[in-house]
Amino acid sequence: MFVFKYYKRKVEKLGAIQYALFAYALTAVIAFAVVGVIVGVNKMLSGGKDNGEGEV
Amino acid sequence: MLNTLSQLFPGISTLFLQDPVISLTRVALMIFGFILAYMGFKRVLEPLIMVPMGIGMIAINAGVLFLEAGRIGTIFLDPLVADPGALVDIMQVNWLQPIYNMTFSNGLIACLVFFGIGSMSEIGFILARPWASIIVALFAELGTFVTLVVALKIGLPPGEAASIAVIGGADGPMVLFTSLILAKDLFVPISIIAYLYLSLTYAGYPYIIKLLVPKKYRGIDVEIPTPNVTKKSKFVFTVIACGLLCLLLPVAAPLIVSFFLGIAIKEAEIEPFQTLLETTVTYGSTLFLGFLLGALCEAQTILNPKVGVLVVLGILALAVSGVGGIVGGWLIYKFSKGNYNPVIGIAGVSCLPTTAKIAQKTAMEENPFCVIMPLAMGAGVSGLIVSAIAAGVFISTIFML
Repeated sequence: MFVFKYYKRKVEKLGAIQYALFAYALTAVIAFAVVGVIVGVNKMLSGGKDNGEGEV
Repeated sequence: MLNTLSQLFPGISTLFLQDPVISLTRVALMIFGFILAYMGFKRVLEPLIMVPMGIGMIAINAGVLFLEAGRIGTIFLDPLVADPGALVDIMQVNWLQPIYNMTFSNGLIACLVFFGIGSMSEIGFILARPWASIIVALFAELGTFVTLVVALKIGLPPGEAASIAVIGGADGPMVLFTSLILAKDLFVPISIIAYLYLSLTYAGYPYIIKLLVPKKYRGIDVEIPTPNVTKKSKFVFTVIACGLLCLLLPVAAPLIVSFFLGIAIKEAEIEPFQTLLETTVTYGSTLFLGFLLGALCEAQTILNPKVGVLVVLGILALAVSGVGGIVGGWLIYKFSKGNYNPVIGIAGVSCLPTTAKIAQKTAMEENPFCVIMPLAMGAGVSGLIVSAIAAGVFISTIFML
C-alpha cells in the first residue's frame, strides 16, 4: 500500500484541546479571509453598489 | 464427494472452512448489504450510494473462493498490495483493482465527486448574507473539533482521530480524502460510517431542530437581500478564492481545485464541460464510490476492534455539528434583531443540498409562506468551504499533535 507522505518540520507538540483550539481558530481565520475576498471582489466589480457590507 | 462439492461451490464451502467469527461476519455483512440496498430502493437512505454499496458488500462477502496455494479470497480487489510487481500482476486478475489503485487510493474519486458538487453549487447564495453564512458554518463545524478532542482523549492516534472527526463536516468525499491520507488502514470503515450517517441526517436533523428551536421561531420569515452579483463577479471571486485556498492549504489543493473548477465551469457557461461534470462525472464517480466502498467491506476489515468506537464518534460528530449550527443560527438571530431564522443554522452543516432542504421543509411546516432556501443554500455552500478548510488544516498540521 502506498502512503502519501510530506515533509514535516519538527515542532513542539500540542495537547488535544490546545490543538483543537488552534485548528479551529486557523479554520475560522482562513474562512473569513475567503469570504472577505468574495465580498471584496464582488463589491469591486459591481462598483461598490453591492450589499454584504453592513449586515450580519 | 465432499471435496468436489467444496470446489463446486467455494462461496458456501469457505463459510465452513474459515474461522467461525469471519464466516458469521460474512453472513452478517451480506444481510447488512441487503438491508442497505433495500433501504436505498425504498429511499429511506440515499439510493445513489446505498444501492451500489449494499450490492458490493453482498458480492464481496459471498464471492469468496479458493485461490492459489489454498488461499481464500476474492477476485475483486486486494487493497493491501504494495509491491509494484505484485500490483501489476494482480491488476490482471482482480477486476476492480485498476479502478481502486487509479482512482481510490490516490483520492481521485473524491475529487471527481467534488467536480460534480462544484458544478451544481451556486456560490452566489453566499452573497445574500455572507458573514452570517460563514459564522453559521463555523458553528456547524464544531462537531469536527469536539470529536477530535474526544477521539484523542480515548486514545486514537492523531490521524485516525482527525479522520473520524471530519465526519462532523458532513461531506462524504472530504472524509474519504482525509482518511486516505491520515488513516489509510481505517479509511474503509470511516468512509462507510460517514456515508451511512450522512444518509440518515435527513431523518435525524429535524429532531435536533425541533428540540432546539421552539415552534414559534421555526416559521420566521426573513428578508432575503438580492445582491447584484454578475456572472463575471462570481467567476472572478471563484478563481481568486480557489487560488487563495490552494496557496494556504496545498495538501487539500486537489479537493479545493476540483470544487472551484466545477463552479468556474458553471459560471463560465462552458456547457459541454458542465453537462459532463453534472451527469457523467458525478454519477459515474458516485456509482464507483458506493460500489467500491461496499466491495472493500470484507469481514476482516469490519472485525477491526476500532470500528465500534468509530461508530460512536461518527454520530457524535454529526450530532454536535447539528447542535452547533442551530446555536450559530440563534446567535445570528440575536445579532440581527430577529431578521434570521435559527433553523437555517442546520444548513451550515453542509451535506448539500440535504440540510438546506431540511431547513426549508421544517420552516414551511410552521409557515407555508416562509422562504429560507437561498439563505440555507448560502450557509450550506459556506459549510462546504469551511469543511474543506478544516480538512486541509488537519492534514497540514496534524504533526503538531
